[in-house]
Amino acid sequence: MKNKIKSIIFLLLSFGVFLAVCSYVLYREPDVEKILEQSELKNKTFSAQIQKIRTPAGINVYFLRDVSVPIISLSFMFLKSGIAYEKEDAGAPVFLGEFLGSAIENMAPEKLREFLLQNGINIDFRASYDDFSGQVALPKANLASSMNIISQIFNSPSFNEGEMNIVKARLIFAKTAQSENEKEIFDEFSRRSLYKNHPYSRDKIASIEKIKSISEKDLRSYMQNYFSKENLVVGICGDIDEKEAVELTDALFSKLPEHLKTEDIKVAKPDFSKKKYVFERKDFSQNKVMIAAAGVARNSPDFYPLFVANEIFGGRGLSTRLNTELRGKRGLTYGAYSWLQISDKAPFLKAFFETSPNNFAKSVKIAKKEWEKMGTDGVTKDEFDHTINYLLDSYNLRFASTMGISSMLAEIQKYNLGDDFLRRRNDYIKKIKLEEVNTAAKKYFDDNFIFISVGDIGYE
Amino acid sequence: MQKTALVFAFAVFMIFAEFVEAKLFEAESFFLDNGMQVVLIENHKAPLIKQMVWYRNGASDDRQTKGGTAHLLEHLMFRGTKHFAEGRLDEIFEKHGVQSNAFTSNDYTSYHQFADISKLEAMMLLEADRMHNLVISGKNFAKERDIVYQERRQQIESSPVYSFMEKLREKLWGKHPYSRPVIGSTDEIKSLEKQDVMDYYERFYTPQNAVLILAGDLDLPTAKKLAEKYYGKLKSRKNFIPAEKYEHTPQKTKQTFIYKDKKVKNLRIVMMFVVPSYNLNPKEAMELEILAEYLGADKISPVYKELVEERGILTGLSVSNGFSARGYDLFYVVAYPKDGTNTQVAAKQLEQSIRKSIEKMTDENTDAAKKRILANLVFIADNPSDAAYIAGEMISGGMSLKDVNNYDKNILNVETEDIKSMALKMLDKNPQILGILLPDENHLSSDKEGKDEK
Repeated sequence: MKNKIKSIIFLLLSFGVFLAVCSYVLYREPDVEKILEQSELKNKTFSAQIQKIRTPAGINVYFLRDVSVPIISLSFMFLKSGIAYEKEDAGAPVFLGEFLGSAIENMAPEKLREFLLQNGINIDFRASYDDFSGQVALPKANLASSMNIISQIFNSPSFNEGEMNIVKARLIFAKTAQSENEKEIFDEFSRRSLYKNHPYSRDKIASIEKIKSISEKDLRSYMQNYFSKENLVVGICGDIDEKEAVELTDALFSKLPEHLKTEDIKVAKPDFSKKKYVFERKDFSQNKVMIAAAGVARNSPDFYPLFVANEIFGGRGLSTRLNTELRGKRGLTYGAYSWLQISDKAPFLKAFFETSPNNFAKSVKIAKKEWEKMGTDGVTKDEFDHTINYLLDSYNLRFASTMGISSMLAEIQKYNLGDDFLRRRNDYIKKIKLEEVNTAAKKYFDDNFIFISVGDIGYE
Repeated sequence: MQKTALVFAFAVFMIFAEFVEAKLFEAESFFLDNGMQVVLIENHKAPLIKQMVWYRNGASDDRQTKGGTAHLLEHLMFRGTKHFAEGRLDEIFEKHGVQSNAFTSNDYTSYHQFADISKLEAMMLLEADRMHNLVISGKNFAKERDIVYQERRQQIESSPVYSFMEKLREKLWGKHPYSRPVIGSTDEIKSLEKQDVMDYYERFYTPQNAVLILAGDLDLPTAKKLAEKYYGKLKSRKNFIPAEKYEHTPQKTKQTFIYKDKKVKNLRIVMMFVVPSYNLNPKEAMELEILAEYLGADKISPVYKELVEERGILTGLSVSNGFSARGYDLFYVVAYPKDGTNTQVAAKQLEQSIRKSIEKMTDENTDAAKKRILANLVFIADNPSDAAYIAGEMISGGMSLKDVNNYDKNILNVETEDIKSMALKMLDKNPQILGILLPDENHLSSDKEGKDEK
């Protein structure tokens, strides 16, 4: 009898071992690293070299020639000319961003529009708080025939009343639409809470009264004062040679004054001692939450280490700490993220998420705990290695679109990263040390943060 | 002198402007033995690759009262498989710099990654694996359902415009499957069970129902070899029945829907017409592409000129054509009336202006619209992500590769008189709805709740 039991146990154990072996063989994780190591696609090399050009009109251009698709893109920025820098606060930068390209002298607006569309000329102008920027993209075949018109859009806008009124009506609509949107309401509240009387607290779109009263004089005066060669950066990419790039740049910008006529603005000093700003809105569907702490400028020695710490905390994808704890493990939010805001006058480290009112208290507790944990414990070696790898391996994604590249070339100049930046960027990443990341995490993920929330905060 | 020269130069250009040589892209395609279609769009700008796997099924294939199934499954596809434990998929992608995401529509579900070309084999391995080996634990299912509930609150319920559009579609399509929101209603999301999702997965996730799009720095022989290596070994599901094409229209022909919401501050008028997609009627679908451009082009459209510039009733309008649905699609006109406008009067003026514009449409208008469409095609080929998306949407909607590659030629073949007769028929006969979004206030007393017109 005993032997029979022993045999049964033996058989069961053997069967169990057999199942475990089968399961291992059938379902073990394939060796992804080995597959990639052996892949025939692994050795494709690529290098993009910025060429620095100076035009006869004295404008510096970062230029990257790429003939793979017959299109051209020019991006530019007038630094320190955005919403916060406008002295009169008339709303001119945003208005001009909407208006430019709609009317020029000697041509009816409708003809101009037809010309642009039939020739595939895409123009885009916009104002941020810091800068006024623009982009012109077009098929290579149409460059010569359209250079004159493109130049006029920028150099000879016609501020006729009819077109001005149309833009006014659109801006008033957009301004009103902001008050329908929960996220826009939150953004406005957070801006006012963080910046108080600093120009960064201004509304993105000026008040309806200001929109109605803006005049041609305001717009021309803004252009004269804020658009100059001194604060201009230009990036060009695409199927265009150096001679044509020079010609296009000077067609647009050679008539600009040499120097900027306005003054710098003061540094914003958010009050981190007033730690909490809450706006009770029981009608909100989702509560919105932000944690905002002091950040770093792009050229700070802490930039790269803090960048890595932020990537791990909430900067990238679904496997960040914030998303893992709030979303993946508990289903408390659709998404949580954090970022380094590199404003000229108020660099921030910010985190944001939305959650339903019943999850609010729990979610805030978890987010604050993760923030604190980052400050005290830093990141692990695994997290660090993983993130460095991500930053190196995803480097080429920035070369996906001609328009994206020309914008990047302008930004490289804005932040003074140098014409060798593309060549050296991965070296900067490789030089980052785990200890530096943890020192930065301790320094910036501290308890000096401002907490902002809008929604049904008092939910019971 | 300079001005004269410029005006002359422009006049010459306008007179002699010809159709630019435009091509959406030159895609190539082949099929694996298991029925999976593979499409390659070469782009050698940089060593990059976009991989998209499109399944020819979406929210319209959710079972009745089980809305949101396709979308919830899309979320759960990131959780884990028999070979990759929970969280490993995101971990592997992120470690290797792969950007990964997915989306669901009425007609299809798509999973996609964008990365350095050296990562393609890992992307293929993981994407092929989750086509057949998905694992959903009860705990993960409940968490993901909670996430989708949060998504619905964040994306739909926090916006009166999205809520309005959801209700408008529901009203227009009636009992048709396109009436249901892709994400599902709140009640449906809460009532979904793991088995609902697994049933859907087992029904549709099979190679003969999938299209693999590869756009980037890859040649055809390598694409064939790798597609075969990773996807070729997947067995097609037996007794697979493709998703229904829903080649029927809603029953009601003309409806009006007025929606008031206290969060609304701006007025909006939306006209939706049920129209055939390319899949159902290629000729009409191409005509609708040109009609949308003719009626909607900013500053040029005759409707814009009349209602924005001359009469100042609207601040703007946009017109779009759905084009690539499996069955019928939607032709949209969205208008933004100025504050204080009587929206019902404005809607009538909009309808009249559209009708008038169609009636007086000339060959010159048609040619101009064609040129505008063709001039912008070159930009789509620039970014592999854009090219993959456009190709995937068209092909999974039912277009052949030849039709995709000949998009430009098909545009050129459209005739003005055909557009006009098709468009007038659309205005009068096609199922349609007029939607008006209003603030919940009393000052607009001239606007009253409309009734359904049969």
